[in-house]
Amino acid sequence: MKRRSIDLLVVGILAVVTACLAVLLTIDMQHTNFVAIRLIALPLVLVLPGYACTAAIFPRRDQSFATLLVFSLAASLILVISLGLLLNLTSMGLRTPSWAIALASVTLLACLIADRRRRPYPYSPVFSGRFRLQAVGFTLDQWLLVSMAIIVLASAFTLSIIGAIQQPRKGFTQLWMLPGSNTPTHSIVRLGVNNLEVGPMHYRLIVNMNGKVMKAWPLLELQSGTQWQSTLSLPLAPRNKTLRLEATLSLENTPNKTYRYVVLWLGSKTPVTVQRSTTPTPTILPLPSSIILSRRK
Amino acid sequence: MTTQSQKSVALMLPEADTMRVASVQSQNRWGWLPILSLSYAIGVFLVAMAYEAGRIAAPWYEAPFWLGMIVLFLPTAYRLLLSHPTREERIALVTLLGVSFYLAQFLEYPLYLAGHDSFAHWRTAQDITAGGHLFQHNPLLPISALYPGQEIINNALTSLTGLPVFWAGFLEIGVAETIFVLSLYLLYERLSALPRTASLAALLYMANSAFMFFDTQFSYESLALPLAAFVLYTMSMQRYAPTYRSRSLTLLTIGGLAVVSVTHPVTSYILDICLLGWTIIHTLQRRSQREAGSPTGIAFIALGLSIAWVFYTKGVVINYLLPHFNSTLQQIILILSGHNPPRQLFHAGSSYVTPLWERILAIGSLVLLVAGLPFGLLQIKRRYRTSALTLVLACAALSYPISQAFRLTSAGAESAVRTTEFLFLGLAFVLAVSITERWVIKVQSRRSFALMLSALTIIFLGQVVLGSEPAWASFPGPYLVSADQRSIEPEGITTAEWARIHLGTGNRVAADRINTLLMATYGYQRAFTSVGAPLPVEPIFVARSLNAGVMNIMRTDHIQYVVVDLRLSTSLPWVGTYFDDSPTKNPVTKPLSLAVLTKFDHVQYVNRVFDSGDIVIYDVRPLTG
Repeated sequence: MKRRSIDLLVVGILAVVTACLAVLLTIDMQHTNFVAIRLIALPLVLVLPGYACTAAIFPRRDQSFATLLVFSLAASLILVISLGLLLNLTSMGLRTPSWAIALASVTLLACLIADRRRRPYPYSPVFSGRFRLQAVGFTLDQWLLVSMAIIVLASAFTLSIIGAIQQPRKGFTQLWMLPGSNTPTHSIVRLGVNNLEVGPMHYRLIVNMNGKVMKAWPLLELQSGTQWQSTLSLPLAPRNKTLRLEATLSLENTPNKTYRYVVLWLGSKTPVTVQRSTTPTPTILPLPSSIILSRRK
Repeated sequence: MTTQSQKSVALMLPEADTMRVASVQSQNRWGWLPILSLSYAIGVFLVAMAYEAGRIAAPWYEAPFWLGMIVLFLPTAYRLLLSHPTREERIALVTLLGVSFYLAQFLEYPLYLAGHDSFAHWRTAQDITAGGHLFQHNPLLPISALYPGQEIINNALTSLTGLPVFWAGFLEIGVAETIFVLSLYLLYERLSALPRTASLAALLYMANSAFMFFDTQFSYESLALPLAAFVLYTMSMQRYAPTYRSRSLTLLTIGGLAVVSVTHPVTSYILDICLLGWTIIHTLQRRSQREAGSPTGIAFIALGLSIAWVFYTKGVVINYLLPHFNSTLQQIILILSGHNPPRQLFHAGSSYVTPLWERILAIGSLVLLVAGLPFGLLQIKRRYRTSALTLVLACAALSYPISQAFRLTSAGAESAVRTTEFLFLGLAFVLAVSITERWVIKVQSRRSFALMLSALTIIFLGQVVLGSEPAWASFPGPYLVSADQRSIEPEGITTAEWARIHLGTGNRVAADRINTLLMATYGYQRAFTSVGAPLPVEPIFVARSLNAGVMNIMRTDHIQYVVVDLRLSTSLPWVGTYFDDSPTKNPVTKPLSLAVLTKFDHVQYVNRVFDSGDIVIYDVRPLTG
């Protein structure tokens, strides 16, 4: 590509590099979190395919920046959705490698078409691919104002994010009891306590079977944000009989008041174990609750 | 002033954007942009302060919000009303204002998705990530999985960057908003050939109640509407384009139409109606009056694409939309025949009533919008009657007052809100024409300028009231019972996460409106809403005992776990219902009784497996098999 298409050269190289990086870093993601580096793949979805497509549509390079921007962004989204529908037809589906290959290929193809269509037309500096700060046309004062705007905006984000993390909320404790995998002679029961209160807590946990104390933990000391788990092995219920297992959690300073309470029926009518579904769990949640809960007051 | 002949010349020169040459010659092409960018940042900061005040339940939380809104809108409105800002400045101002509105709204919940609709689309995004393929069943909103345009982009972003759905969605909708505002400006500029009209029309559009509050959510319309605006822009551009460009633009337009068809059904149908209207008007016009290029082919392609997608998705959308239309029509008929009193305006669920000053602003806004219409329509008739697309926009503007009558019905109120963003496409342009082509010529005194600025501000603030009503829903704050975003809090989230970790995924779960959302997304369970479940789950919770009817529902829905939120007994539901689309449809008059909610405690063989104080999970598999 000659000087007329230096921008397309940049776009093509960027597309290939970002696609490769996205795939390579995904492989390593199992061990390390590379999200910050992988963010460089953003233009591969949001801008590059559309820019190349726009260059192919407007070979004369006579449109304004606003038109170029809206076409680049909108064409990118249109191409990504179209590619997504096509990838869905493949056995690979919508996965990181398929996205990387598809988007990089489409961008490169559009770059080649654009370069070919540009040949009859003279070079235009609008598409030079270079960015000069002076070209924006701001004076020093105006740059200062814009910088202040960015600082104020960043402050607004900081205020909101920290405010949302530290929003005053009531703490709580989770207690659970679930059937485990039984052995031929014993029923296995899993117990757990999760302290999500504001500070450290001292609990007392008692497990009763048909009204009789089976096991007691007189003092469970848990820091905020930590959990305790244990397994109970109990004799199997006699045939055609059921056993009612109750776990009562109370606070150390109010031992006679039930704080949390769970019940499990053991015997013929109860499920043997919790059936874990085979549905794969998506790994990407919007935000782990650990962050939301991390700095509660 | 630009004369008709100048306009014609401008429209004949589609190769270069019409006002480019003049604006480059301008000495200070950015004008007030730097100082206004600071004002946008301050406006966003003030709104962020208001949200923060809401979080700590400070009584003054509304003051910085309204101040922030004024700081965002008023200086821009002032600047755009003036005649001398350049085209570049106008484009930059409207784009930055649009992005500022989006950021201000985002900062309400900057850590997690909170909007009710967002959860349904998040579930679709999760399903695509988990399975690698589209069109998996979404228990929250089955139709979301069949219109996956937005989630496809989200999947591309999350797959390639590793960003969480939330942040990928933030970027995606941010890009969509930018496309939207730019497309609107460029479309209006194509139609009017006047940057001032175009910028004022874009500004008025952004003043509509849905722009800031509804179309910034992580939902399919937030993407489809900007793409629809882009399609209209490319079509308006195409009519004057040379052949070599016209073919490429046609391809892109069809691509845009196809993408809108697979992203959001209602936007797709409204775009079809718009294109068919354009075709009809174009056909009815005299040959001498017609503009170049007929939209007929594209209109029929658009219609074909929409119909094809309805068939491909087996008509699910018809069953989804029809009940809404039927219910609205029935209510209107009942109101007109005097059998049903109109819906009480400005009264939300629970006992909340909008303050008087906000009601005055909202009504003032509607009055001003309707009052400005005839002047704009007159100008359209005089100056733009040859443009078929402009006449379509005028028809949309005319429909606006009619659509607002739907607010009088409870079923139609949502339709009135949701048609606003479509009808405003026309209304904004008509009003902008009335401002620039009538008001500017006739009255140009300082007093009239101040009056016009005040009118624009009232329109904007009134629309903010209509869009943000009720106030408790527009501000973060302490937990409220069944109040959508105000009910999303750590206890519910961690309970759902506990279910995912300890019960496994894909269990069939019955829960109230809020826990259904959390269980289906954070918990990745099959928690059903009324549109997803074979039988509505509400009776499981409200029945006094586990009678035969309740057992039948639990067995038909194959319910495995019941999630009971004991807080439902502490207050009336703020959104009017505890359960998604309650089958009884009767207003809730008293909170659910605690004894009713805890009835499972006394049922033999039902395991109470989880207790977090407010939320209890029962394992009902021994009853349902």
